[in-house]
Amino acid sequence: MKKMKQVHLEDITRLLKEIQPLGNYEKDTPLYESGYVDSLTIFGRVLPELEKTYGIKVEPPELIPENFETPAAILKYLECKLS
Amino acid sequence: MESWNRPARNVLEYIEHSAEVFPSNLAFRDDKTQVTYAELLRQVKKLGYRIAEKVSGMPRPIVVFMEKSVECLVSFFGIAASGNFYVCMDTQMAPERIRKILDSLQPAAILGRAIQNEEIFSDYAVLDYDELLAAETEEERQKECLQKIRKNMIDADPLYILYTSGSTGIPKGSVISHRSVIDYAEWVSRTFQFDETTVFGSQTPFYFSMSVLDIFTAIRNGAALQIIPKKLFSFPVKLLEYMRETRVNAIYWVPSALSIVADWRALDYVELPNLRTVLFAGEVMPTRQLNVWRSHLPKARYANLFGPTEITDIGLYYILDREFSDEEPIPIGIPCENIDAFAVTEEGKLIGEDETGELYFRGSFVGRGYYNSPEKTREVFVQNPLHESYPDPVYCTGDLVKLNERGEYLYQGRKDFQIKHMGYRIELGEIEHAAGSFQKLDRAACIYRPEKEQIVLIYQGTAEKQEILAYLKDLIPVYMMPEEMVSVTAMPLNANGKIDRKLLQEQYGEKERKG
Repeated sequence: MKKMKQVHLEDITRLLKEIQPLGNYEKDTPLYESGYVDSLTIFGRVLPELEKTYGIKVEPPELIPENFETPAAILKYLECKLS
Repeated sequence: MESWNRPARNVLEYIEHSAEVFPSNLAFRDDKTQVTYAELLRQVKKLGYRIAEKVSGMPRPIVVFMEKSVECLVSFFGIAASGNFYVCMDTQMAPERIRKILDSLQPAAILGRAIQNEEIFSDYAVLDYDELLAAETEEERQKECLQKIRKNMIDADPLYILYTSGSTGIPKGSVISHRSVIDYAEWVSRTFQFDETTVFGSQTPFYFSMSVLDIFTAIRNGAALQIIPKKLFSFPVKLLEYMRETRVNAIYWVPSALSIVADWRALDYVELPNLRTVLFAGEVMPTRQLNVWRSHLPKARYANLFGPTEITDIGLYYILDREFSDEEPIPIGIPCENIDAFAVTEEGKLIGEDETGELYFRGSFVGRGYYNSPEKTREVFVQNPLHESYPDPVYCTGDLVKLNERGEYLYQGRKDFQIKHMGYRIELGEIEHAAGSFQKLDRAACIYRPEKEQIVLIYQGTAEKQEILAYLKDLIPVYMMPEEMVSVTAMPLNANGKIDRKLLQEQYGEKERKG
């Protein structure tokens, strides 16, 4: 079994930076409005990376702006999912 | 629309008619703004008059540099009312590409809203949409001015120019006339029975030819066009909820947008009882994902549309009238009314049974050629290859097709993607389609390395290489099997949401050696 992982905001901003190096990611950066994230990056990169790194499966109803709009939102979602 | 005494000659007649018959119907709506037909007509006239005051002389192109919005649509028609033609530009486009387009276009003005990147536009007159509409105008003078402009316009005049990528890296601007758009909107309305109760859920950017269907069919029928926020295409369940709330009942999307909804099982969570029409075009629709839609919404009408920007939008269509297994490709169908489509072999003869040929289009949807580009125009807007008796201009698509036993065209890929491999003539598209039907693959694309004589399959998905080969073995001949397979986490897409084959070729193919 996978070991329960602690998630930090830095892990998420680092991941986003790797995926789209042009962006500057703070806690409350609006990922979609900033233009750095679109459906391609979400489905192609962000979700697969999160699922792989944290051993989770994102369910369709969880895929909502409230959970993915900002790095802080992603953090909160992951903490919820992992607890 | 029985009240028409004669066919429309200018798309503005559509707005005038809808404003008269359905004044309070919603015309366009986005997240911030909405306009009824009565209001739309008022704004279009005012904008047209104000633009005409600033730009006079011969009809010229005017660039619309705005986010996808209600104001962007009002601008298109305001420019038409001013006697000029519009060019919708992607505001996210790289400055270098914008510059290339401006150089070839030499627009009379740039119309925008509080435009920031002014240095790109420093050689041109920049008009501010909000300022133009805010000014007071004198009713009588406005009316006179617009009538005078209209009197000088004919239906062969350009309505817009739409830029597509050119293989040489210089974008090509297709010039499309009022006539083409009117004949197209008439065909669409009749074929899919759109009327004033239709609400289009617009997905495609306005600088993409597919948006022509939503926009002009809406105004022709007094129907509504609802702009769906781009962000929602990252949240499939939310997307469908939004469609339900805004009462969208017709969509015309690229297959990748439809596939996201299918792959994320969003239709399991949200019912769309009002969705009557599902149309798609732009790339090959994967049958497996289409079957997910059909099983959830069996009563909706589905159609595969096919055509290039150069002929307005579409020249062939297929309304789904039978079941397809996941492995079967969806036909691109039969010619639209008053459009002639034919395919010609390399020997210059019409294709026979089981023969593949290049597709040509003839008829009123065919555009006027490329703007300021006579050479590129001559390459593809050519004399009908079947005779020389009189001038008979046709558009040569570069697409390869064949006919099935029902007389429907089947798409075989781009001529440029046709390869000769071990003596066989192969369409990379055929391999892609086979791979795309595999459950464990989200997307698949093929490129060819001519020097190593290798077919390379690039895929996104969870499948193991051996599994893919085992699956493909049952669908394609051995000589078409990929020699190499590359797994990617995300398939690169171009600005229109299609797989970016040029980029794949650059990354995974080899540069062709010269000399």
